[in-house]
Amino acid sequence: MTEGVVSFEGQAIGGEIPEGVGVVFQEDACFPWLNVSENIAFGLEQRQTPATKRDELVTHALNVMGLESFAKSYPSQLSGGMRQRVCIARTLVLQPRLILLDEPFGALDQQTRLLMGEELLKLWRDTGATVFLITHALDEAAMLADRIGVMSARPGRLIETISTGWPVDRDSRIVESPDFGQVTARLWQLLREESMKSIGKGALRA
Amino acid sequence: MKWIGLLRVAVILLLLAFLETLCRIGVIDNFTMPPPSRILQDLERMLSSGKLNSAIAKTLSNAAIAFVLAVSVGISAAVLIHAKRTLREALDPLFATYYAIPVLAFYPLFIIIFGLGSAPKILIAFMLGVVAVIVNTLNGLDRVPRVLLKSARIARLGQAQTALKITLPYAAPFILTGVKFAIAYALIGIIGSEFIMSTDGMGFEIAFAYNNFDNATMYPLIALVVLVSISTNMLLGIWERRILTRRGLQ
Repeated sequence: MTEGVVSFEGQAIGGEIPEGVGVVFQEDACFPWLNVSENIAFGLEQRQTPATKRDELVTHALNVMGLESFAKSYPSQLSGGMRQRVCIARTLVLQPRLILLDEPFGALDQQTRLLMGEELLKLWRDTGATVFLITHALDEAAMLADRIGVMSARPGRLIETISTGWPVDRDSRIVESPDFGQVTARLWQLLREESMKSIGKGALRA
Repeated sequence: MKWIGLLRVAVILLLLAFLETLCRIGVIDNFTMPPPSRILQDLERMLSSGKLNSAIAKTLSNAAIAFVLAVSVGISAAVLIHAKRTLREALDPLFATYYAIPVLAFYPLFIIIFGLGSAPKILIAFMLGVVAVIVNTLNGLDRVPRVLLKSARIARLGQAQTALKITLPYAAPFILTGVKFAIAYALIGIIGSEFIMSTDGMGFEIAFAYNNFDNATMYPLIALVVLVSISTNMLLGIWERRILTRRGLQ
């Protein structure tokens, strides 16, 4: 494919990013000169949300992310995982209609990862936002997604789209179901083929 | 940490005591330099007599004007230069060699153009300081992580908003380095040009006292300049430490 159109809610996207899109990056995107609450409030202030409403949203986000006792701390005083939670909170308080997550949980430990995943599912149900998650963790993809697009190694193309068929009100216990095993097995299989291909190529070149 | 501060004060006091002794026992004779305790007494007398207050006010206000101009023009210029790549590439080598220019040598020219008032002195002090602010601000802006710029785009910030809300706050510690230079250069520029040619100001009064062997005026004025410069720098230092501690850099 050499051409195409990216559109959001029916509107083609030009150079500017449309309102209603939230992004969480892989890297630490905290603002080091602001403390945790100020970081989370950043977008709300930009939108000129009234102070009481803003504080309410920030407090809620702090609670959800388990950052209450760090509200006045600066990013430099937090661990990598906590900083990532600040960035996630900063995006979520704006209640975006499309959330792009670029390996957002990569820096988190397994427990937090699981909790954040559940939180993401809850958020997705509450807001009805579309969530687009990029991840290398197969179980994460299998647990969180309705549809999983598997990408090939370079050049990155969509090789298969798998619908998981999970119920909307799922949580992390979905991993216990036998279907979960099937979905992850299929993902493993596809990825194995891909990595064999790229490793094979590397071997030939060498 | 605390006793290091005490040690620092002790070293300064010791040096002053040493100087005091040299003056008192006659190794340094009183025509060359009065003992530090005497300088302090003279300073107090000078300030309370109010004879030189207008000269002091003149110098400090001119330095303040030059400082504010150098910082505001310097930061705005840096933001513009940073945004325009070609401009940046054209100017970078000029900034690197700028401090090879003896700016004070232009002072007579500026007097011809602007007259013997405050304007040529403020211009000299501004020219000395502004490039230090530009260079340090550019250095800070260069270091802004790309992910923060992406965050600014996501937040739909315009160019000016991005500068005010993201890049300049990020660059603050670097800008502060430029600001400290601007303070030092403002005092150097104003007092230096007052020395060369002027009808008022602290530099003029120091030169005048020097020509009249008036140690009771010259030394207290020098001491006052030193005190002003050190105390403003210390105030900025407190602010700088606070910023750096927040970012875990200190």
